[in-house]
Amino acid sequence: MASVSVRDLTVRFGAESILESLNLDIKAGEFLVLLGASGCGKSTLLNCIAGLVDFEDGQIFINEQNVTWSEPKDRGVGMVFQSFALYPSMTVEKNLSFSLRNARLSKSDINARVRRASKILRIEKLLLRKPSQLSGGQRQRVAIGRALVRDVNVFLLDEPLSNLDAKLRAELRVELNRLHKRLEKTTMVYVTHDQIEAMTLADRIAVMRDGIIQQLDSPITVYNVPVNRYVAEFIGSPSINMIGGVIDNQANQLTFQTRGITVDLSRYVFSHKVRTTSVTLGVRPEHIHVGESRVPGVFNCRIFVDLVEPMGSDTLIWATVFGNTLRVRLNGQSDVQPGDALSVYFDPANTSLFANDTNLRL
Amino acid sequence: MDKSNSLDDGPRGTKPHRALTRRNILVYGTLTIVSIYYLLPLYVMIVTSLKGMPEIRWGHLLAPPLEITFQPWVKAWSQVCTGLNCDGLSRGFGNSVRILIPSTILSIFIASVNGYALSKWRFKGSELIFTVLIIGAFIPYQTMLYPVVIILREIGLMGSLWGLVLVHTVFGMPILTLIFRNFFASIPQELHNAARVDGAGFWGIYFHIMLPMAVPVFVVATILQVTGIWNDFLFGVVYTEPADYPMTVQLNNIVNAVQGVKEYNVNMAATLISGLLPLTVYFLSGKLFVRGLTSASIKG
Ligand SMILES: Nc1ncnc2c1ncn2[C@@H]1O[C@H](COP(=O)(O)OP(=O)(O)O)[C@@H](O)[C@H]1O
Ligand SMILES: [Mg+2]
Repeated sequence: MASVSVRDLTVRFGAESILESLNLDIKAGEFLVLLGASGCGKSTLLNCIAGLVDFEDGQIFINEQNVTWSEPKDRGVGMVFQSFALYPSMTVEKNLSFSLRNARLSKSDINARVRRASKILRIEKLLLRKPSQLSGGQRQRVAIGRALVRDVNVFLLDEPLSNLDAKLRAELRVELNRLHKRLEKTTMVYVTHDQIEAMTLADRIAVMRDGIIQQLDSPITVYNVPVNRYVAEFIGSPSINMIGGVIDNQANQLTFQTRGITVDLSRYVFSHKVRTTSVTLGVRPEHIHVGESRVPGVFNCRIFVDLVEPMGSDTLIWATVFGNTLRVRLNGQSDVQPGDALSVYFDPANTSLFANDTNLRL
Repeated sequence: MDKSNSLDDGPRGTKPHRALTRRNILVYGTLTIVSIYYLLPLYVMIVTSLKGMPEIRWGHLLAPPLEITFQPWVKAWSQVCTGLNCDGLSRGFGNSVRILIPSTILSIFIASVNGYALSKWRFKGSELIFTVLIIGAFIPYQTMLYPVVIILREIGLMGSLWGLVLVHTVFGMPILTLIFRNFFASIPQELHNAARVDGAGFWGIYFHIMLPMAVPVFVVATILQVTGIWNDFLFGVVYTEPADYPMTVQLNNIVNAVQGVKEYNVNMAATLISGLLPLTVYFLSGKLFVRGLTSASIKG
């Protein structure tokens, strides 16, 4: 069991500041996902934890030990890379045992560990092959195995699935999930720009943008209660509907108003005091339902269908309501046609309001 | 239906080729002429080295030998005199080998470690060192001849084989380091990081990860160094004593000897002997060389 703490981490490459006083606490045994667009500094943060980057300022603790000045090998971390980074001149077996040989373990110990790891990852039959003779999925298994043989406390994974095709990615994702359940004592820090990986694997997600952690919460919280507009738009596919408008307060009755629409906000749970009237309403496409609701406070309206995208398992509808574009996601298949008018409703309790000046959730 | 029928009736088989196109004549004609231009002198040398002196005086330059004799080869190898020594080219050959082996190994080893360190381990001043090396690659050797004499004298290596080894190692450094640096820079940083996490240090990564990947580059570097050092004349004549002269210098002294009759057959044989090693290297490694060059340049 090992926790990881990053304290006031500052990283600069030349004059460019990549991370600025970043703080992050990862609990022992937790599966933490760093999620963010490409170039936001996820790999840099991970490399700092691994000890592969000389940083300007700050400290790193692993298992409550200050490892700021320790070599990568002395930190008890194993790492899996996006490009797999297998040693091309070594067989799978030699790849797996490289760290053990560097640590001068006994032959029998090395063999036992290699056998155990290759059994878990089902690569026993590949031990004598060279990396060039493996498929992408097999390569990534070997790369994971390389971290597995070492019995590390912390697994660092840098976009381990992004070089695989979609089907393999889904398979390995499930396997990684199983692996984490199996290695329940191992802390995992997983970098990705893929929100599905983040949602399905994480105990907690840290959403990053431009070197700053925007939100650190459970996947469901990040999805339901995004702290700001960026997080709301980054998570969820198809992405959240954003409708600009104003908040109106009449007789203590708060409403959201925009062209032709008035949404009763009595069911909305505000987490901050409203200090501005200019706001944006975020509604997830899957929270809009066809039909009419009689529940007080639920918003009903008629929309006009522009485009229908059938996806088999569900159907995405592009529609307009008083000049606002709306994406609606219907479960299953639908015979809605472009040009149709539909009655739909959504519950304001499932929406998010963002102040336009700060972009923060209200 | 119509379309598929017309396809069925059409001509089949591989696309026909014409042998005597204008382009082919131009390409093969040029190649033939260039080949003759280069091969003719070689032919004359071989033929002449196998003739006796009387036949050379009377015979035609291009005519094959009437009576083949290996005497000129024997004489060139073991009997011809230069200065006070009369043991033929074998002395120079021995010297050249003793210069070649340590110079090649040392220069390539040091340059590969340099290239690896400069590309994979950023340290303070690594950019400066690299710039200095690049400049070094473009300084004409002549300007450094005399300063190097002084340096060698000061460290007591002037006129010795080891002095020349040092000179070859130093002068080969810029270009070899550049070649290795470019190759190692093309190896992904993630591979290097993986090895560090796996507990390999500077030398562990060099020997276990980098070196096996760089084999083609080592082949290229070896060929460059072997032929370059073997063919060197200038450094050999400046920095060694007559007893330690490399083969090229000795060959010059044989061919340009002013006393006695000019023995063309012995001169030709001596020249061929001194060219045998680079020739063999090229023949044996032609394919490897090209493969190494392309892999080094594509990746670099
Ligand atoms: N070695 C480096 N030298 C200079 N800039 C770098 C280096 N590594 C990364 N960067 C820059 O740092 C930023 C963050 O990079 P990275 O952490 O790799 O992003 P991510 O993994 O989130 O895609 C990028 O703008 C990148 O260009
Ligand atoms: Mg990255």
